[in-house]
Amino acid sequence: MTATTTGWGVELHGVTQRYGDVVALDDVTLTVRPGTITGLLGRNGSGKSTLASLVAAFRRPTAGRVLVDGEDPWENERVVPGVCFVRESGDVLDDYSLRDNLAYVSGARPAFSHELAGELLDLFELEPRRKPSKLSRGKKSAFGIVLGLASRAPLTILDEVHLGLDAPSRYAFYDALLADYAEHPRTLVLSSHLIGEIERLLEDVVVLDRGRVLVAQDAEGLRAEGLSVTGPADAVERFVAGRDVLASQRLAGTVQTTVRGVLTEGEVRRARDAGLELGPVPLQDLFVHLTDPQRTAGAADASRAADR
Amino acid sequence: MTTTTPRRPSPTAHTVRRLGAALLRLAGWFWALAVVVIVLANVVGWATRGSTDVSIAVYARQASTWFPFSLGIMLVSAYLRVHVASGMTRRTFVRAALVVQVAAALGYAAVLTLLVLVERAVHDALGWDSVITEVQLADASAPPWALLGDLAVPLVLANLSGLLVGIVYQRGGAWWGTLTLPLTVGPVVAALYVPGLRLMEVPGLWTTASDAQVLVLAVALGAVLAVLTASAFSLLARGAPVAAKP
Repeated sequence: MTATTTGWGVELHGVTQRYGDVVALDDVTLTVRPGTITGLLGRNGSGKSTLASLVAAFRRPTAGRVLVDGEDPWENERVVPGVCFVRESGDVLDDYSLRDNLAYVSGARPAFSHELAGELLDLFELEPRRKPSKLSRGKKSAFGIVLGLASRAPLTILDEVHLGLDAPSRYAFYDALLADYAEHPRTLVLSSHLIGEIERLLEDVVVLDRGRVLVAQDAEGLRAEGLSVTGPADAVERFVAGRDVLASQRLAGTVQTTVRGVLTEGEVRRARDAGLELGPVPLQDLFVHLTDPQRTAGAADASRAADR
Repeated sequence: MTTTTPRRPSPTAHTVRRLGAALLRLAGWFWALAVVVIVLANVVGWATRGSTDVSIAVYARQASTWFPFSLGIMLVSAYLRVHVASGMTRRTFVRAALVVQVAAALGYAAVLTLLVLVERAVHDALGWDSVITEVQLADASAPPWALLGDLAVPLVLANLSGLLVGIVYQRGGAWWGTLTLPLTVGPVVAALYVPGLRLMEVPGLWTTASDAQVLVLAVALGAVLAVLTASAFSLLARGAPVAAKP
């Protein structure tokens, strides 16, 4: 019997995860659309890895429901083979060769591609006879990528798998991911701090902050919530005066400023007349702004005041 | 466009093969070393005393109890995390781990029995005795099936106990793992040393019953303890969270 799928969706309903006194996830309700590449973004300790662990049935939530392809993944013989969660720490047999590790995983993953695994081993210059314990951090990360992509799981979650990889290897990973995603569509969830690098891959974005969902929407919609304004410093400063400035970079006399909000047609015309270039907002700037502790603390204060 | 997910082979069988291969490799080294030590000890006894009148092979009982016990701990600490991360359930890991550990225990018991019998045959040929001084029920005159049963009980218990110790340490951490050792390892120690009551002629059933009756009783008690140990392991492993590697 075979199952046909374009990737599996994920639903979280009121999910809370506590570690003793620490609340890692706080009443999270969230949907990941099947067949998309979703960016799972958040500062350190925001709950990204915990969320992925629950989805992959690595642990059970303290409260709430997790559904993968419509079913609870916990000890679910149908679902767990189709969920591949690769985390930065690496879940491999350290004292066995990469070849042995591939054999262990391939026997458990229904759609595992030995061909792709071989190509990726070559791409990252990984020797199958080596043991993970003898690899550098970057090479260990690369092996995690090999396992994650070659498994071709309908739901693949890659959590900071690029750590230690040099820039050429990271870009090779992004290209390999996109190429295989195009040929074998599935649901991919990418967690990374290198937002600028993965931005082009993302169709949806989820931003977590202190265990809560701050943003969950399509990347285009999120980018449309702001824009970058580039031009002579004086003109840019005049134009953005009074607006919600997210970030600003200066190079000699030229400034690029990221602002939040939508411009009217008149404002767009005025900007062009002033010799300013308007562009899409970098997700990185939006992310930094959204997760700014001062801003989120202010929002919490406002929320508490409203409750009173 | 859609992707097609073919059916995979049985995760339990896949894991049994992988774990079994790992244990078999280590068992090969263990028994090769054990044979060398047994032969050397016999030669030393002959060279220093003119004959070796005790069974040296049977002393391997302790090593063949505690070595696979430690491998049980290793199976849990090394494989459970990888097993779940590879897309298999804890349930299939529990099944596979129980199968390979019980099979390993019976295999170790069979090999040890064979070594004792071979050594006994050699001693007989040389006109030496093969007195068993290890604390166990089957003495030098016991038939092979009694020796096998007597050796198998603590070995099976030890292998299951290794799994239990491993999962308690994994779930509860060092404090709970250590504090519960009397419970998790106690049955193995009991299986190893309670038969000594018969040798010490302590009054009671252990002394008054026949050899066969005591052996059957020991096997029955061992089976009950084995089921309890396996059940505790299964219960704890099936709810175990899979934490990131430290």
